[in-house]
Amino acid sequence: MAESGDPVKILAWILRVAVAAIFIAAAIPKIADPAAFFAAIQTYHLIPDGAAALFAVWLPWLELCTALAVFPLRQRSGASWLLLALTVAFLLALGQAWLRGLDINCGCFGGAATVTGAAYFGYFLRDGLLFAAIAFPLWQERRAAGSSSSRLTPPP
Amino acid sequence: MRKVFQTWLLLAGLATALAVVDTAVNSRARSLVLAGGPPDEITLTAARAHRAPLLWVDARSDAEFSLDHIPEALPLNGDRWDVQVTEVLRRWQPGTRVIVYCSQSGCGASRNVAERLRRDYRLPDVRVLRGGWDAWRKAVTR
Amino acid sequence: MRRTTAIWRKKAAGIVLVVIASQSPAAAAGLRWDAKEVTLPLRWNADSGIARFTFVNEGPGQVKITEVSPGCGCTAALPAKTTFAAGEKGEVAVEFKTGNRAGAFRVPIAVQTDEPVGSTTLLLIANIEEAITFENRFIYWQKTEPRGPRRVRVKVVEGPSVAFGGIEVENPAFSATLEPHGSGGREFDLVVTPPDGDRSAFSSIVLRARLGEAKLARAYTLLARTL
Repeated sequence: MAESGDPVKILAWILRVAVAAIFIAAAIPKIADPAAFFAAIQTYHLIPDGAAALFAVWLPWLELCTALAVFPLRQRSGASWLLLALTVAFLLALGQAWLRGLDINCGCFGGAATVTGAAYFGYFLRDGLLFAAIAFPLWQERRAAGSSSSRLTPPP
Repeated sequence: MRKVFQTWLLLAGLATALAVVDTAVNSRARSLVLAGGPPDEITLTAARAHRAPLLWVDARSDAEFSLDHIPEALPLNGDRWDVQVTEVLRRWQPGTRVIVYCSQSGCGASRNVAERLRRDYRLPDVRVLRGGWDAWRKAVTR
Repeated sequence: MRRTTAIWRKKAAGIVLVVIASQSPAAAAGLRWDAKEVTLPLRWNADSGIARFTFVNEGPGQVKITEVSPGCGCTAALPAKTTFAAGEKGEVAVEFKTGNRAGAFRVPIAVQTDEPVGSTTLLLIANIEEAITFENRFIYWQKTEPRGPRRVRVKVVEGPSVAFGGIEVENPAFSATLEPHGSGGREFDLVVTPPDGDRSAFSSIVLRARLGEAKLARAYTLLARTL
């Protein structure tokens, strides 16, 4: 039966904090320099420039708020699912850029690293790991919720 | 699931409020949102829709210019500035919008040239083409 | 049970700090750059300058720099030593040639390494000082304007001695003279007179000067036009 000292729960907590730290670290430079992030979004050739400008200002704030929202219990699940969705969206954007053979500017931490060819693989790998790091605590919570509800079921 | 969507709405609302405040207090965010990009940039569509005369200026190297360029564009780069700027100013007329381009979005040459034309030559209407030569090529081959 | 939890949480906090540190953007790649943006101030009489981008390999293994690609106006070769062991320091040196340029220039430099996420863009900002500045390099008279002389303020930077060598006016319909402004010997007015009439005309006006003890020859061009 899962108790407070459960290593799975500890690992989930560690991953939750680490993921939040990554998203906060990613959001801050983009908030500081939205023009650089806008230029990065442009290189994906996905959305028109007007929408990209709004996105460049709005998305980093969403990342920051969501990352902080994994801590309070009420918002934890929703925030984690949103981080997962953001990671999937980024992987899809990366995938379409790779398929179209674009030279993109990752824009992950606001900066200006150009991604071409084989360097895509590194970004896919990194965000795949991020996906797993977000998914694991979600799975752990569902597992804990499942076992505690079975404990509440009264014996026949 | 309902709780998840409620959280999403809450976070989206909070992010929107913060983005609005950011736009109000941060001039960089404000100019980006109001102009849909850096304020002196212009899209190809907007450039073509401009009614007054346009003067295209190519900030890429002479070699790239020789290979291909926007029709009637003039080259202007750091290597032969005095000679080339003379030609640009011979062609320029009051009321002309000058649009400078280089290879693609994010290359600095067009911005450098545009700033110099505004600062040193006091040309009143100088823009940078968003997407650069790449944007032109894609529009032409579509 | 509570004490066990507390101990576990403290241990977990320590692990978390390590995880956060390892996930910082700088640690994502092995090379940590001391500064990704370097400003290179250049005096008016410099032909070129060298900007140095220093780094430390903070990754666990060896890193090799495979390519250094500067933007236009720079030359940057692969450093003599391209392979750096863990903990080793290095630098990429970029030479910026001033050419016939003045003002601020932003030059991106792409550095490729053999790591999975192996691409970094550095930024060289070259600030080239102008020895002689013009209030305006282009003057024009519109059709409706009277064709009177115009004065363009010319300022010489503090420091070098200056000897003006003459004014070359390409189109003889224009004339130009240089007059001192004030008593400091550093400010002048270039007075340009256009041709009479309402025809359009164009001329370059080249102001020649010799600067400093080395009497470096410089030429500054003003363009004048009647519309």
